[in-house]
Amino acid sequence: MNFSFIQKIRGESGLILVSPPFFYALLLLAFPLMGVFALSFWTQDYLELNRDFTLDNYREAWTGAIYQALMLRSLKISILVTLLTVVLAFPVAYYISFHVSPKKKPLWIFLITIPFWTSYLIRIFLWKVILGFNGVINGSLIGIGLIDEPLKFLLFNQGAIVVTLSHAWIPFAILPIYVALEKIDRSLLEASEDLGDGPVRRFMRVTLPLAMPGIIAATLIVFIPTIGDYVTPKLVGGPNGLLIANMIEVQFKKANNAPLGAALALSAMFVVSTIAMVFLWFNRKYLKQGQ
Amino acid sequence: MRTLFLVSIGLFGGFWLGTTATYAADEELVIFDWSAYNDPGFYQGYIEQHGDEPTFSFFGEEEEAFQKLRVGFEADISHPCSQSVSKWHEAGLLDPLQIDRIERWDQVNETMKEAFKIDGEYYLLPADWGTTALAYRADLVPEEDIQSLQVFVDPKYAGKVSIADNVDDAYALAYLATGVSDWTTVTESDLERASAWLREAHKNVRDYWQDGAGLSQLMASGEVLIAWAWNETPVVMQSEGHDVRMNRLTKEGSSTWFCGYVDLANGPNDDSKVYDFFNAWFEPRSVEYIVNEWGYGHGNQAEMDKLGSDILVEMGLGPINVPVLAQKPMNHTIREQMIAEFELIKAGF
Amino acid sequence: MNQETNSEAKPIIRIESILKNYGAIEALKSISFNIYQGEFLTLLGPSGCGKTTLLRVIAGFEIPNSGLVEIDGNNMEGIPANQRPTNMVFQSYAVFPHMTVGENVAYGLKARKADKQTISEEVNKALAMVGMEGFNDRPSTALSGGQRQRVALARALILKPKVLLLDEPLSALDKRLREQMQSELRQLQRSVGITFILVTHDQEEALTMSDRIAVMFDGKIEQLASPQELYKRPTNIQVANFVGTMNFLGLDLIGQKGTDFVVEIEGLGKTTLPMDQAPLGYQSNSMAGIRPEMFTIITNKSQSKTKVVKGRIVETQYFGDMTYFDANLEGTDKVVTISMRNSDISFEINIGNDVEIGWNPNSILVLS
Repeated sequence: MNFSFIQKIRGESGLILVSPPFFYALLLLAFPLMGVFALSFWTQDYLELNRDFTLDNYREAWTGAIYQALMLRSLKISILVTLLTVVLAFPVAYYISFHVSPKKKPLWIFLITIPFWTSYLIRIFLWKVILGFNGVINGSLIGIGLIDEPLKFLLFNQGAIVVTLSHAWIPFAILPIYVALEKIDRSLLEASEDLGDGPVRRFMRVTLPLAMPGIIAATLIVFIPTIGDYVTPKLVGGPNGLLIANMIEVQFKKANNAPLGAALALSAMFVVSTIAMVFLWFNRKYLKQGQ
Repeated sequence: MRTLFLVSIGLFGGFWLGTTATYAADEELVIFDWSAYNDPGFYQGYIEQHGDEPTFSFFGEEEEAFQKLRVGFEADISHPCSQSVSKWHEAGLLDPLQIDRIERWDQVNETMKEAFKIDGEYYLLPADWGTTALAYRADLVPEEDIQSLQVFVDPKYAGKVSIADNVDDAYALAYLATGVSDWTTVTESDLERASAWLREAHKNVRDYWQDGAGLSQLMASGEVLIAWAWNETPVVMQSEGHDVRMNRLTKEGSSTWFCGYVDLANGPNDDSKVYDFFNAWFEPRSVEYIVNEWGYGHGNQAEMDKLGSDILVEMGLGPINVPVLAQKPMNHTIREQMIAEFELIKAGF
Repeated sequence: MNQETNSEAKPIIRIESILKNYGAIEALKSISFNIYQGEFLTLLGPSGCGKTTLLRVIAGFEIPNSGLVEIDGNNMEGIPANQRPTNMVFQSYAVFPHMTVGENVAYGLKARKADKQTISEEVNKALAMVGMEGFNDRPSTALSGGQRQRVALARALILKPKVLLLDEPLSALDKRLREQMQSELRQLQRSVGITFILVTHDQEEALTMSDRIAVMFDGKIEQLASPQELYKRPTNIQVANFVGTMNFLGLDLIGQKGTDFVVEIEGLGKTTLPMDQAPLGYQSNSMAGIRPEMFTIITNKSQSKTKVVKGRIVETQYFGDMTYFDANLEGTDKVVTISMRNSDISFEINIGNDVEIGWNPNSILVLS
C-alpha cells in the first residue's frame, strides 16, 4: 500500500473542503480590509480622492488630541465593560455548570440566549427606560422615599454605556466560561479537597486556573468588539460619551474624510490587537494546558 | 472617485442591497426616502392615477443615503435636505428638473427653489420645511427665561438642555446666538465665535437628541426643560398633553430648514411617473395634510398662504419679525470646518 | 501480613452499619468491618456493587445515611474530606493539568502551608519513591498513563496519610504496565507501611496484591478473607464464581455417614464428603464446586487419583504454560473445564478425543 498516495488524496480533498470557506473569508474579510488599508494612505478633498501615498492620516490619527482622547476613552470603556461582563458572567456560568442538573443545562443555556431574540436597539431603549430620569430605578427609589429628586448620573454618561454594553455582551462571556468549567474533570476538585484544600482554596488553586481559557476567551470576545461600538454611545452616552467609532463614522460620512476614517479604524484595530496580544502573552501558561 | 474600497462595497453591498431593497409595490417608480415618508396622504393623487403605490426604500440619514447611491443603489427619486443637495449634485447624482412637467411650479416657494438653481437649471423641488427654535416646558420654565437664546448657556439650566445632534441645526443656533442670521456669508471669525458659544452650551447639554421621539421622552419626563427643537416636537407633545411650547420669537430669532425631492440621474425607470409623483405632492390636499398631520410646512407657497395664518402660527410655521436663519446651502469649506468643530465640541474639546 | 495476628490489633478503620441510599437505590446495605494498621485490603466486586461508594464514604466524599466510620479512633462524622487522614488515588489519576509534576506532588504540602525547603525535599523524596526523580519541572500533560499514576501516588503519599485509598488505579493501564504496577504498589505499600484500601473489579489483581479481600455484591460484603482462603474456601456460589474459575455440578444428598455427607454428584457419581467441605451445610440449592486444576486428564497410568470418570474433549485453549480443556462428562450433557500444566501432558489431546478424568473428593466444595 502506498501511503503517500493516500496522504496526497487526503491533502487534496482537505484543500477542497477548506477552499470555499477560505475564499468566502477572503472575499468578505481580507478584501474589504485591504480596501480600507489602501484608503488610509490616500487623501480626500471633499468628493475627490487623491491617491498619492501619504502618512498624514496616521500622523493626524496618532497626534490629534481629540483622537487620542477618544481612543483612550474607548479603551477605558471597553476595559470596564470587559471587566464587568466577565465578573458578572463567571458566577452565572459557574452556577449552571456546577449546580444545575445535567438534564436542565440545555434549558438554562437556551434561557441565557433569550435577550438575543430582541433587537439590540430595543435593548438599548429598555436600558433608557430603566436608567432614565423617570425610569424604573429612579421611580422605585423615589417611591420608597430614598431620594426626592431623580438621580441624573444613571443615564447619558459613560457609566450608562458600560452597563448597556455589559448587558448586551454577557451571554458571549457566559458561554465560553461555561464550556471551560464543563471541561474540568470533577475528580480534580475532589483531588484538591482530598489533598487538604477547603472550598475557597480549591477554587483559587484548581477551578479558577482551569477556567482561565474560558475567561480569556470571554475577555477577548467582549473587549475586541465593544471598542467598535457606536450605537450605544450615541443613544445612552450623553454629551461626553462619544467614542472612537463615532468619530470614524463622522469621518466617513459628514466630514468627507474617508481616508482619515480608515486610518482611525486601522489604528483602533492595531491598538486593540496589541492589547489583546499582550493580554494573551501574560496568560500564555493557561492556554498551553489544553494540549 | 472609484476606489477599491467603494468598489468592494459596491460589489457586495450592492448585491445585498439589490436583493433586500424595498417594499414591493409599483416597481415603475422607486423612491429612496426618509423612513415614514411613505404616507399616502402625501401623494393620494398618484395612487388614484396609477392604482398602486410607488416602491419605497428608506434611509435613516442623508449621508447613509449618499453613500448608498454612490455605490450604485438605483432609485428614481430621493429626498435630501438643503445641506446635502450641493454635495449630491457635485457627485453627479442628480438630473436637472424638467420644470415644464411640474404643474404647480409657479406656486413653489421662490427662495427655496432658487437656492438650487445651478447654471440655469433647477435641481430641487422644495417639498417640506420646518422651523428649528427654542422649545421649553412652559410649566417649569418661567417666561422671562426664554426670551433669549442665551438661556442655553445659562448655568441655571445646566444638565437640563438638549441640542440636536445635527451640525446644521446646532450651528444655526450658535450663529443666531452670536448675531449671525445669514450663514451663506459667514466668515472664519463668525465661525469661531459660534463655536465658542457652542462650547459653552455643551456644558449645559444633557444629551444631543437624535430624533423627535427621543427628545419628546427627555422633555416629557422633565429631564430636559429647554431644547433646540423642530416645530413638530411641541405639536406632537401638546397633543399628548404635555405643556411644551415653542418660542420662535427670542430676540436672536430662530431657524428654518427645508428638504425636497430630486430626480436621480441613475434611476432604473424613465421619468414618466416621476412627475406624476411630484404633481401629486403639490396638490392642495397634500399641503393641507402635511401641515395638519405632520406639523411641517409645504413647498407649495401659494397653498400655504391659503391655509391662513392661524393654523400656521399654531403649528409654529407662521411668519415672524425676528431674525430667521434659513438653512440654505453654504460654502462647503466652512461647513466642513463646522462639522469638524462640532465633533470636537461634542467630544469635550 | 498475617490476619490472625492482626485481628488482635487495634483497627485503623472501623466501619459499623454503614447505610447509603441514592433515592430508592440502596448502594450500601449496613456494612460493618475493620481494617488493620499496615494492611493491604481490597474491595473486590462487579461494577455497581458499592465498592467505590464505600471507598468514597471512607474518604469523606459521600455522606452515609447512617452508620459510623472511625479512623484511628476518631469518629469521622461531620469531618470533610480535606480534614481526614486519608488520601486517594483516583481512577482518572486527577493529576492537575495546569501544574508541573513537582507542583502536583507539592499540592498537599502547600495546602498545609509547609515551608519551601521542606516542600522541595519532600517532593524529591516522594518522586524518588515512585521512580520519577528529576521529573519536577515536566508539565503534567506530557506524561504517559503510568507516569501520571506514579505522580498521583507520590502526591498522595507525600502527605503520609494513615490510609491510602486507591480507586481502580490500574484499570486504565495496559496489561504489561498493570502487572508491573501491581508489584510496585505492593512493594511500596510494604516499604511505607501505610494501610492501603484498593478498589478493583479485577479478581486477579485482588488476589496478587492483597492481604485481605472483601468481596462485595449488591451493597453487601459477601466474604472478607485472605486471598488463599477466598480461593480455596469461597463461602458461596457468587464468591466462588467471581474469584477464579469454578465448575459447578448438580448435587443430591443421599444420606449421612457420621459427620460425612453421602452425595450423588452430576457426572461424577456417588461419593462421600467430609463435613468441613460444606462450610454452610447442605441446602436444597447446593451445588458441588470443583476448581479446573483439581481435575486431571490421565495421560499416564501411574498418575493415580482416587476417582476416574470418562469424558470427551469439546474445546481446548492453549496458554503456553497451561492448557484449558472443556470436556463433556460421559452419560451427561455437563461440560467441565479442566486445566493442566503442559509439562504434565505426555501426549497430544485434541477435540473429540475420549479421555479419562481423575478427581479427588477432597477437592469438592458444597456451595449454595
